[in-house]
Amino acid sequence: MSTKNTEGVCKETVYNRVFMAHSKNLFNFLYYKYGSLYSPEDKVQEAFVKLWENCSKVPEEKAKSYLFTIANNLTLNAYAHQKVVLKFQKTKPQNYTNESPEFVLEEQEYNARLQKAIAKLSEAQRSAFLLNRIEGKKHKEIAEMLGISKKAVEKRIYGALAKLKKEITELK
Amino acid sequence: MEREELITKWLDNELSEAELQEFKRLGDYEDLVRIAETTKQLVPPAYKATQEYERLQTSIDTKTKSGIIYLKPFLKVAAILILFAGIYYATTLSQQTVEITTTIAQKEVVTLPDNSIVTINAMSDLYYDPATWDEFRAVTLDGEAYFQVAKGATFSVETSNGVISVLGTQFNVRNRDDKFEVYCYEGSVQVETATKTVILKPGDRFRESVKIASTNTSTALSQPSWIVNETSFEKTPLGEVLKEFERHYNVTVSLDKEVENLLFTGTFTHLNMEIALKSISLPFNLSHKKQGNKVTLSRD
Repeated sequence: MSTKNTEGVCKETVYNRVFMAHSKNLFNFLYYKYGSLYSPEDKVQEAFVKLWENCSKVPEEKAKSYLFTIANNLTLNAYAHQKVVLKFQKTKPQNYTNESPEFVLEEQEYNARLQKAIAKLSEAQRSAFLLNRIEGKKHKEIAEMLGISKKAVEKRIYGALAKLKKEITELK
Repeated sequence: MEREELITKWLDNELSEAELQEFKRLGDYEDLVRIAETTKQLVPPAYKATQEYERLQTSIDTKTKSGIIYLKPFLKVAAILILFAGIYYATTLSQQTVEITTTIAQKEVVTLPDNSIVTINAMSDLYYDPATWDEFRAVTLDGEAYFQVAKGATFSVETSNGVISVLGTQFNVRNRDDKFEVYCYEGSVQVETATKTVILKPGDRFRESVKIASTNTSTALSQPSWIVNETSFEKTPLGEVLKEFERHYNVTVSLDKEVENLLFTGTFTHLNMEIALKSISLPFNLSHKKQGNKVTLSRD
């Protein structure tokens, strides 16, 4: 897959490859950063339409950062700094079963509180933190993805965690 | 190690065993782990890449289709251009002349739109314009052809050396380079050259601006001999005869300068080169040599 392609992504096969490689990541990133209000699916679509229109100018290895920049800008254009709406799917099943109903209830409440707190994070903190936590991405990867330094990523993630801890323990 | 550094390293899964122990001694260790681990279990909304790709393709398709709207002014221009091109084609190109060309040793019989019949001798070109045929029965000839013209309006043959006009008759035109010869077989033929206009009667021959009246009616032929695969000459320079010979046999003939202008009266066949050569060379007591595509005629 690492074949160098500097001729742009106009070929259907290349374009499809780029889509399959990056669309989900792009979607998740937009979701983590801006929530569901700005329909990340549509922003992904728009970004890929733009990529298609400029397919001859964007080589395959540049496509990822191109898409992230375009999708981010598209969302920012619509973004009015409203409250982020995050609605994660049902959490993954816990490893431990046969818990007491109280425990399960407490778990659910904690979950809700955490999600609320995550929604309150800044976009920068949230996207970096969730990419690290949910996607399991290394700090270095996130830095490359967002085009910032590893140090900045670490600051964002640490800041996010500190803020979340504060929110949650305060409410306790 | 600093608390922040420790936590950052932990989040990046970079803690060593010793550092992990240090991390666990942090007062809020459990809170941090719970936040980090619970977040880990969150699942973003499902993204169906294949479906989204199909959706993308349709939106790209419609985008390119709607792109045509921007082309609308150009389409108008294009439509007009096509219309003009069509009119141009209909008025000009469709009236393209019909051209019949023969090569060495080839004869062609052509029926013109009015059922006149033209037999075209070797190495000749005949053009006519079917679109204006009803108005002007006119053909352009370069070479030699025998015309059997149907009755009707004036029929004319244009050549580089003159114009032949008839009403309905049979005649032969030989227009080779600057050699121009018209032979009338039936009816009457008007030959018009740059210098004069003459009327030919059956048996009359017009040759290079000179009208040669038929000497006696017995020589008046019913059709040119080349139609039956022979070429006849009457008092024609040998050089000219051999040029005609070259048109029927794919050879080059070289001839001594001194015998070039001897006048030949006779016939050669188109069917057998050996016999044809003999019928030309014997009357002048010439001998011929053949080497590949080259024939040399010389006086011994």
